[in-house]
Amino acid sequence: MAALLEVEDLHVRLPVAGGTLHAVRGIGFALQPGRTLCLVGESGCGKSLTALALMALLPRRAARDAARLSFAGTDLRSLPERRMAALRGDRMAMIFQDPMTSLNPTMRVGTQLVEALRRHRRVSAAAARDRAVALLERVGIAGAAARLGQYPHQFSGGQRQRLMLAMALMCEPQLLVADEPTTALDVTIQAQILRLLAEVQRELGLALLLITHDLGIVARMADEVAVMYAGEIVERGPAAAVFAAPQHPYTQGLLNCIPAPGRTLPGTPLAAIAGVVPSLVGDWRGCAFRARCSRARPACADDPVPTRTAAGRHSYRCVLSPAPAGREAAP
Amino acid sequence: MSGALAPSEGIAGPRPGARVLAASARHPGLVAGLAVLLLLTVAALAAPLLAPHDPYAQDLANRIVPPAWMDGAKTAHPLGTDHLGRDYLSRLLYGARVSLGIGLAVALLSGLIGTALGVTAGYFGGRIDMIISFVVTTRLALPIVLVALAAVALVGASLQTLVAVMALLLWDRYAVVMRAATQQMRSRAFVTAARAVGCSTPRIIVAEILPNLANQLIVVATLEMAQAILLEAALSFLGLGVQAPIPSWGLMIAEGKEHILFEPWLIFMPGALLVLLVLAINTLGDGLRDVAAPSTRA
Repeated sequence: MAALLEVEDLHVRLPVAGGTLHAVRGIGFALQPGRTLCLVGESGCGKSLTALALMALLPRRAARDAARLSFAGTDLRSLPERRMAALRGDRMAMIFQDPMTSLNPTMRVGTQLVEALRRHRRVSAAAARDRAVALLERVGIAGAAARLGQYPHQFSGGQRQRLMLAMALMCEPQLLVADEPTTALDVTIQAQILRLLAEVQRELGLALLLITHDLGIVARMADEVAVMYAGEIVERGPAAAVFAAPQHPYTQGLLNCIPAPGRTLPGTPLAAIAGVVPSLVGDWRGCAFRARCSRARPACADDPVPTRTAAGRHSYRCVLSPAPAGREAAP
Repeated sequence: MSGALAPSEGIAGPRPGARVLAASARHPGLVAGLAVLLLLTVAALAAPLLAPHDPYAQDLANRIVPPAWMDGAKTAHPLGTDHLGRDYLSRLLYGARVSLGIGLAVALLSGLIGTALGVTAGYFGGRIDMIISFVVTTRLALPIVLVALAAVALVGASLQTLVAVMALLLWDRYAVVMRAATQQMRSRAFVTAARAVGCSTPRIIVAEILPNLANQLIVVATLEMAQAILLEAALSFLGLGVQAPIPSWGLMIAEGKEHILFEPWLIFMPGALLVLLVLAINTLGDGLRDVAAPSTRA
């Protein structure tokens, strides 16, 4: 199947005091309709900026460039803002991390939902309202018709994320970008929202780009996974393959950090990756993870870091040769 | 588009304004300020009904009649008469119209100018912000009374000139406050979310940002209105503002200054009303600020 979203060599640069912050450094991925790609990485690795770059919602001072950035055959790189605004909310939608602040506090939620549709489609107010009611029911808000007239502060956090999802779905988009959609929610609500997201995706055949730092969410939701570190995708492939045989030392480290019942003894310190994410201000050569990597060698400082294939579409950027399946033990 | 959901209005929950309204009712300064302001507004609006005499009718036989609580008062003139025998109560009532009308007009017009500039600077930032900030700084460097003097000398004194000059001079506080508030608002997640559903920039400014600035706008507007009323009085006192025979409190103080030694009530009454009105508006403005943003309460 042809890819709906294709990204190659995407860069995002931010001018900061003391130089240029290379927040996203040449990443690439493709997403098919009906599939879920999880972009996973720790805070500051550039995953949110990647999402904003796709939607052309980057802060004004940020610069974006890419060798390829296409959505359903449209080249987004040179698309004027007017046509980009026509795509946003219509064929590509986005939901955000914090549902508490993502809704306008002075506008009735019904107005916000109806606006999302009527901005892009010539439909009557009544028809738009009917669709809003139907979608609110679908995302699990009871008494939808009555609640359209309410304001955001009258909804709980979980309900607001449901509202955001309903608003994103008003125009039946083909692509949904979800930036940490459950991070601000309780664990029980997280599970409900994720289930809802998965259901809605199946029903509508959505391509879902899910951004998260939570490997548990990746394991539940992802068809494909891309692990980001310091602005680069260090490992990508089908979720099952990446979880079964992580190849990059960073991915291995991340998976080792998850305590497993039975394997992790109570009272022992939890595993962690030593060190901190390097500063990405200025030029960087070689592998960005080498300072924290227990298997670093002189070749790690050379550019370019080789991209190796573990199996099929499972690839990673590291000087090390592919290791056999089975979780890598910490040396 | 906002009217699209009119049928559901009946089942809507309380507006966010309801909380503000309830808090306002419990704020003594706000209630007192509002009460005095309403009283003076009603008096101004009903001046033709309340005034015992024509405020322009001269009666040279009855010049400088003292008010009711002094010797020599006349029941026909409860607050006495001025140096031309005009009924002082009637002139004070009509003067309230001038003060409130000019204050309101200037607060609205300068609000339009200042809000447009402030929101534009705050939303777009960069070079536009630099230019507008420079304009604000330049405006702050202009001495208001001297510029007003020059403008009136150039165009000639009239109510319209007065309002126009004051509106063109008093927008700075709006611009400064709205710029800061817009900068804060534009980084809020719901603005990005609005862009993510495809809202255009004008739509975001009008529908997403401006309604969220209403609280601060109202607070600035009340304080600005008080300043405009004082400035009108000052300019009228200097002969640059409202021209005789129109009754203005500032002008009445100017006319009464000849009699300050022996008939001080001529200055005292319009002066006291001026203080009362400005105090009421400022108290109301302070109260609104407390209620709108409880965290900034000193």
